[in-house]
Amino acid sequence: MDYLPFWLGGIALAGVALWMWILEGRTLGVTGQVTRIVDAFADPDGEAEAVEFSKRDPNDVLAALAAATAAELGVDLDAPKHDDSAGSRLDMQRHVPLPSRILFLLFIVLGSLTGGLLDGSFEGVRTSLAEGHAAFIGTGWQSWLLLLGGGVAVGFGTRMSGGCTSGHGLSGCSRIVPRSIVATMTFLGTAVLFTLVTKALM
Amino acid sequence: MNYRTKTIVRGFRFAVPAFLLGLVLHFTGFTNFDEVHKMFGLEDWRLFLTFGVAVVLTMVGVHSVRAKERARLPRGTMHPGILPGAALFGVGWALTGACPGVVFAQLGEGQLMALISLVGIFIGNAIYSVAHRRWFRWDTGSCEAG
Repeated sequence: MDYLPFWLGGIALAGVALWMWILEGRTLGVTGQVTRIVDAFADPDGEAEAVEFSKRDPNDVLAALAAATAAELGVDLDAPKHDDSAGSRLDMQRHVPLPSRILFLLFIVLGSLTGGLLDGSFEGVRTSLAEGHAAFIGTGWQSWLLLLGGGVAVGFGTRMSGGCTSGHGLSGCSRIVPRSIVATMTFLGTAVLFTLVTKALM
Repeated sequence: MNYRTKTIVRGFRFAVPAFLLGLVLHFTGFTNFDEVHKMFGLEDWRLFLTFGVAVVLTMVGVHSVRAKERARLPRGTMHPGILPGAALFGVGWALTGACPGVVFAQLGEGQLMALISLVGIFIGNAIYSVAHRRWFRWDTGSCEAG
């Protein structure tokens, strides 16, 4: 099938990142969702606390913070009033609960499924690798192991460096965050190097 | 609206860009191993250019809208995990053709083998979480995604 030309694909991809930014006030990042899901399952109490905290009235949170600060420093403090214009909750209360994060990932699946149905490329479930992929990593057990190992490298590496193609590559680079630019250059560079070297050796 | 309804509405609103991401990854071919492989083999620059155009346009967008909020966002620290982490990710991506967003889009296209990469990604993420607490412990700043 024909894919979008680079300029149109680029506009569409930027549209997704900007949708997240303009309408949700958040930066797009998939690794962040995966990480929070893993953490929520590893520490259900922490997740429940974060949800409980996000439900509290922002003015109560500010009052409690002011009271604790006053007690710590031994001074009198008036609690600031929450400014509703920036949103109904404080920034620190904008916790996204676990079900929403799972829904986020499921909706990526739904999006590409819809795309496949729209352009007629969806042919049901395919249990084998595409030809080019099989030529690169083999078939059977070998391909299973390489896919699993590659997946672990992706999961470990993205959490270690704090982002992936969306978080570092798209959101970080566009905000000109130094570590995101370094990370993006590195993962694109190693992917190119690994591919070229492997192909030369095969 | 009570808290429960609000949370459900918020959850679905939050998922709309994810749906669009799935659509775009499908129509740009980021989900197709052959296309990604051609990009990394420097045989076809289309996907690199797609990504470049997206970064430039997003840059213009995030610097024009909600500028005050953007300035307040955490920018993270340049910790020792950035380089090795990104390098591992690069190798994994070249092998599986899947980055964390793309793997879900591959599943949506019916690529069942992507399930193996997906399981790997969750395992890798969980292993890092343990490894970080035991050995690395550097300040990673906060994550990019809200």
